[in-house]
Amino acid sequence: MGLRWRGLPWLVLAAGLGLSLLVWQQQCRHEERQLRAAFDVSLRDVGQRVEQRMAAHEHLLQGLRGFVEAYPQTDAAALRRYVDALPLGADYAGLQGLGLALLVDAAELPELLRRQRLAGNESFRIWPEGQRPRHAPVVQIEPGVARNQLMLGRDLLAEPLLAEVLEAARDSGRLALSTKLALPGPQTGNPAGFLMALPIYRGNEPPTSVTQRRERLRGWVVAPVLVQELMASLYGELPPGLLLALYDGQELAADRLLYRSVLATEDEPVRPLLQAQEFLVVGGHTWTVSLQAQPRFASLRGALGTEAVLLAGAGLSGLLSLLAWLLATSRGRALALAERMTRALRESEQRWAFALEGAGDGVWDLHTVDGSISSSARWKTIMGLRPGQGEPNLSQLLACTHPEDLPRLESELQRCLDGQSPSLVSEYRVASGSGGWNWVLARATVVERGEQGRPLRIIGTLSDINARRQSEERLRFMALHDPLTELANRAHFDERMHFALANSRRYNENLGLILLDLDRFKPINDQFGHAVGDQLLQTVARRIKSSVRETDTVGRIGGDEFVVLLTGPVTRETAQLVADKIFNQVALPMELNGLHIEITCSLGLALYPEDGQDELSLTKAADDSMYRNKRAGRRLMGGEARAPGEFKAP
Amino acid sequence: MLLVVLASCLGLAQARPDCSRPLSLALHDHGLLYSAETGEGIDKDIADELARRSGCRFHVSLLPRARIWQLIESGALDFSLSGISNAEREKFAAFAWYFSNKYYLLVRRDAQVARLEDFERNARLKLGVIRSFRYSASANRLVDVVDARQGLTLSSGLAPLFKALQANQIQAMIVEPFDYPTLESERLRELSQIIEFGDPPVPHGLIMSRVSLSEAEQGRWRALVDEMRRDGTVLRIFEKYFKPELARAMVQF
Repeated sequence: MGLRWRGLPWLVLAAGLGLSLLVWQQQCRHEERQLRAAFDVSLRDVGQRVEQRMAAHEHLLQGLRGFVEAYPQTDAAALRRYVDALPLGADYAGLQGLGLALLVDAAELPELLRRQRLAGNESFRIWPEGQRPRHAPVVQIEPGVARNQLMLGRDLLAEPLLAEVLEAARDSGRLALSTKLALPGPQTGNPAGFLMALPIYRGNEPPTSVTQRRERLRGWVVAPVLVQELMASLYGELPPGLLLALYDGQELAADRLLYRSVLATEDEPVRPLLQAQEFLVVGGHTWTVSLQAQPRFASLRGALGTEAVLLAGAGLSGLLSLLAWLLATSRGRALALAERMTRALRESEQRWAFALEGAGDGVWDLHTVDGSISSSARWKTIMGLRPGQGEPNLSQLLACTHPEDLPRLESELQRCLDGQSPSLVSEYRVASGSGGWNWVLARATVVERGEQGRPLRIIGTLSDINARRQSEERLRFMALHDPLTELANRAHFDERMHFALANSRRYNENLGLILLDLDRFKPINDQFGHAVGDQLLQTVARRIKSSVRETDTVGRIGGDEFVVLLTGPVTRETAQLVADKIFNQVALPMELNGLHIEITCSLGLALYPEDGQDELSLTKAADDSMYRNKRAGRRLMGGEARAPGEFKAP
Repeated sequence: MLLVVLASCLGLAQARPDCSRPLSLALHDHGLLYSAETGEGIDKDIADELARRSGCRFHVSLLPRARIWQLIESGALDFSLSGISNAEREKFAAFAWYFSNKYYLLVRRDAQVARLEDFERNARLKLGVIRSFRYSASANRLVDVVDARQGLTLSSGLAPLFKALQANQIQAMIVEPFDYPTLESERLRELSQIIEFGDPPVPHGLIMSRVSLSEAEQGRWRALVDEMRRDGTVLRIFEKYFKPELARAMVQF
């Protein structure tokens, strides 16, 4: 496995993780934006709900102000009826009641008390007691439930904080809100509340300046509001996971806390994911809305699912890198396997080549389509080609083959190609580089066939069998010839004569048979030893052979007995001439081991078909002729006789 | 001459808005534009002048700015004053410009902010803004950048922001000429400085709800405002609250 591939799984893992991280970051940013948008919507929503609820409450006060300004002399009963007619239900939750606080100076107090008593409020008194230039006692508050009755007679100007609110309302002609108050009464929960005050003026037209407002001020429409009830009616739709707190003023101090929402039981307050404050200006007074988002707020929006993206991304990256690793290593394994197989094949080829070359065999590979040959160096050597010579083709190869062997080789090769024989095994001769012929043995088989069995490729070996063939030739020669004279031995001669007779019979030709026996050979052998005797026989054999034609056969059939078979066109005369020639040649003196020796021979001639029809009769006729000559002392048939046993020293 | 008279008569006829129904107009408490404390301000004067000239009856209410934009969009409110436009608002509101002004960043000296970028980068610094307010391009960009880093403190009115700035709850806020009386307080001068956004003045005008007022009606109201500018009424109103040079610079744009 290359370095490139080995690093791939890590690369895939790194890329996958990087991509996952990128997607995760983008998802986080997207989720964060979504979350912040949702959070901001909630904050805005809370603020607007508070503002609208306060605006609704202001409308109630404005309604009451309108009623009081329109009917300045109205009595308590009419005001009670007016308030009773208002739809003070859940939409106005938090509003404890609607009251009237009249501005009176010290001089007007007795008249106020008198009128209250006349109206049946015997216990009405102004509190806290004390000497003040102006008073703003709550003279009526509806509905007249116990908690509201506690407000009756309360001089709002006696309390500096409330006096400030009333004066702000007076000067602006608009609603003014008090700071946080602990509302009196039997509240079960948080008593935090505030007072709303709207000025009432005398006259038919609203005053247009601060001076006019101060001059024409008659009193205030007031309303105590319990914050817990107010907010409870608002935050019913506050999304889960949000923690809402409302502070009086702009400081987030515990003593300024007006309201805090309660988390669901399963939510433990933890470090908020998001938090924000918004200042609300209501009735010229500032409240601070503080909103915190707990993790649940995010989880409900699936914002905390971003980890799943990362985990899934990491998991997928892991799987991808594993896949890449598998792919990379399987490729590596395949390559390693291929390499092992290639090596094994190469080794096998080398072994085969070594074995073949070691055995002295060459290898050839013939592509029959184009006749091209791929061969080993040994093959070229055997074929008598030069080492650097290129590959020959089939026709060149056949041209090197001995003409006598070529038809057979072509036939055997064709049989192999045609599939008639499973393999080619053929011995033939090829031209050697030195101009001679070498025997080779080709073995081959078709290894690839095309459509309809058409041979495409044939692979084979080539062995140099020249030595073997020569050895065989020698053995064969030795089996058929006399080892001393290298003339045909009796068996071979008989065979040749049998063949020649058959041939003569068939073609009605003559055949001559000459028998030859050396005269007085034995004394020479005895006298000069076998070595000289053998040399003499060899010399005689050569002389006989030189006296006959190539087609004639000379044989040695006994110690000093020779035989000559004359084939081809032969007459008694020509046969006699050959016999004479032999006689004369043999009779020539010879030098053997420093000895001058002369020897004669006796010859007998027989002709087929006159003297004999078969081997036996013919041989007998020739034998008879020879013995006749020998007895007659005619060693030379028709030639000059020489005294036998005349030896001359050289 | 006859043509001029005819044209002016026609123009007069066209300039009269439809007063067949009571119209709603909302003010928001913002420095010299309108003070709930005194019940006076530039917007109040403009509204009075519009009512006088048109002869229409206005139901005037005081609302937070964010609520005003919502109501204008829904068509539940016909008018408001001193509004600026952007692509989003153009979809539901039409405008009749009558002044323009620049915005400035009022930043605490101890925040060590010399340039706008210093404020953007410092994650500890909080910027106070009125919900739904938009400003000039650079100021808007600052608001968006600080919002992205959760550095905004929102308010429904201006006054809490000045208090928050002094209490170091926020370190900067965006101001305009209507806030000058507050800026002139010695305490604010001591602890804060002004950084310019470098943007051109932004036109402000009468906000008209496209839902509740037809194109023709918007044209009539726009003609009325233009008339107030032409005849110097707008300048006179501004001169009540600003020095003459500044009033002129704001009105003549």
